[in-house]
Amino acid sequence: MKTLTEKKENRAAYCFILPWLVGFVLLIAGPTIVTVILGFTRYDIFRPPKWVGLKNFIRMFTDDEVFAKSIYNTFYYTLFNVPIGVFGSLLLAFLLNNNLPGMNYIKTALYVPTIISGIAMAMLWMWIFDPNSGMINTLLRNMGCASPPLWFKDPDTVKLTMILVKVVEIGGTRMIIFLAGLQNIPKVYYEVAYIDGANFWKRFRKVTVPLLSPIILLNLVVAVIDSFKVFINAYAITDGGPLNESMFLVLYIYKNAFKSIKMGYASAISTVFIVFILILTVIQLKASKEWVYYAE
Amino acid sequence: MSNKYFIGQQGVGHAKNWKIALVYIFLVTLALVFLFPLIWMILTTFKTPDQTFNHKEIFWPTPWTMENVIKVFSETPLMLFVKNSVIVTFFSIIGAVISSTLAGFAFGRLKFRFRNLLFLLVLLGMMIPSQATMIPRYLIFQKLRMIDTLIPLILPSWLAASVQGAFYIFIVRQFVMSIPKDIDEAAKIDGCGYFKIYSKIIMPLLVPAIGSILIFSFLENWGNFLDALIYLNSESNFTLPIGIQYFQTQDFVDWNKIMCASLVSAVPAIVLLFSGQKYLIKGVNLSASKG
Repeated sequence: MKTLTEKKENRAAYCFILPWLVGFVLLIAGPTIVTVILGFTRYDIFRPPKWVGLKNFIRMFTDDEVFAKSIYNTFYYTLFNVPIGVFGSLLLAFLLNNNLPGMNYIKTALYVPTIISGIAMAMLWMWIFDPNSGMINTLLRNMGCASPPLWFKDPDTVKLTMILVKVVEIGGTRMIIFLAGLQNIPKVYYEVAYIDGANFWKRFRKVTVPLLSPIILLNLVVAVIDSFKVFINAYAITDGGPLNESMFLVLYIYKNAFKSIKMGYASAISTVFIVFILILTVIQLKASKEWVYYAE
Repeated sequence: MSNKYFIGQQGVGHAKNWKIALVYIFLVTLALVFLFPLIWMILTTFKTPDQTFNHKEIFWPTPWTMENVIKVFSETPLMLFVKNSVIVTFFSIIGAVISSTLAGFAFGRLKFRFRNLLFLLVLLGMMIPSQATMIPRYLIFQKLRMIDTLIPLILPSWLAASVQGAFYIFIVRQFVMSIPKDIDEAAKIDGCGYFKIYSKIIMPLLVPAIGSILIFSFLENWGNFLDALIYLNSESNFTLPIGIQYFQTQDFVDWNKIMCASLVSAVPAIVLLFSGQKYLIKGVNLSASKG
């Protein structure tokens, strides 16, 4: 038997979570299911969707080089972007977590690239890395480099350039989350380790990393998803080129859905996209049992 | 030589002077590199197109000119884009704060059926980006006849229906869990209802968390590009992120105008960052240590 207070609390709680619940059903769970279903149809918006079975998926995996390339590119990008992003942020947070004067200004300065809107940054990178009129190549030529790299315009360097320009985000939200986590580690742990004669590196490995590990995991999971969402730079700077070398999954979904109006095919790609993200997340959560430490 | 400063760890050790110098050199260099995009935007905004084109020689604007700023504001619909972005961002932030504190309070404090299961769904929401479901989302807003209005850019925040929305709920929940329970138990005995506990007692204590949600939500919506791209068709409805690209689609790329528009979009963000920086770290207390 539930008491009256419990019933009241239960009802109140559902009122409180109602906006989220409605949003989850209508804008997250519903659309996810619909995406999967539409993946089995041909749909051009003007006529109702037509069931085509596995055709989209078969075509995707056997007869669509651009799709294969977008998968490869997205994984390639993630493979570099995530480790650089997460370890870079952790390193910065670690260095900033001190009582030296002026650190607040540095923290704020490092956050600046993150607050400038993605499209503005994309425009800026496009210009700075322009092979002819860009500042970087102008500098390189002035320094005597006769044929500097073509950056975004060369199929061999376009992905690496995209990874490079993302490095400025190591001073962003992820670093803030690490800093908040570092400040929660009780001083006494460090003092005990210090008295026991643990050196700097040992204190980092044996105190900081284990106590921060749940937050490292959170940042890692979010970073992988973020990386899979890569879109703006590819859309605005290269439009997926040259030779589709910067065609990423979300850009390919967007192009199929809103440029070629192949909503069914785009939904099938979206389904693969969701499956990849869920698999990668589950793998990370499973692997985390080996290294993440939860305090009692 | 060493002194009372420590690096990287709390309250222990005395860093050697050369180590401190090294940390400073590294961080200050990096900060300057990271500030470069902003500096370049400012410099280009105040250069003449001639100077911009010859930037091989000219780094510093000589002389500084207001020409671009005046031109962009008088000859292009930039003010309109700013207005639309302000509307989207303002209403989205309010929605994000309300929806995340309501749900975060419930998940952090109240007992209810399926709480753990539902919270798992919140976390699942952090894993399904809106990019993956853009087609049904578009179809929904099309059925509701909301394409080419600002509503599809605002509504999801009110329903916490985004990766970020779920993250804000998580932030609030962790924060609520760190607030001692005695405080609201006392209020309960005084006969306060749950909504009063939320609005009168918990809300004021949540200020740091709300501060960081405010900043994150501002950045998320002020820079929202993909949704604007998908949902907005007519120029009069464009927000700033789309507007910045507007200058690229003309016959040639007008860098002065693009940088000017970018600067206009960066200024409010920078003001917010400098005035709210103290909340950034205080608000994101994810470890939920019991206070």
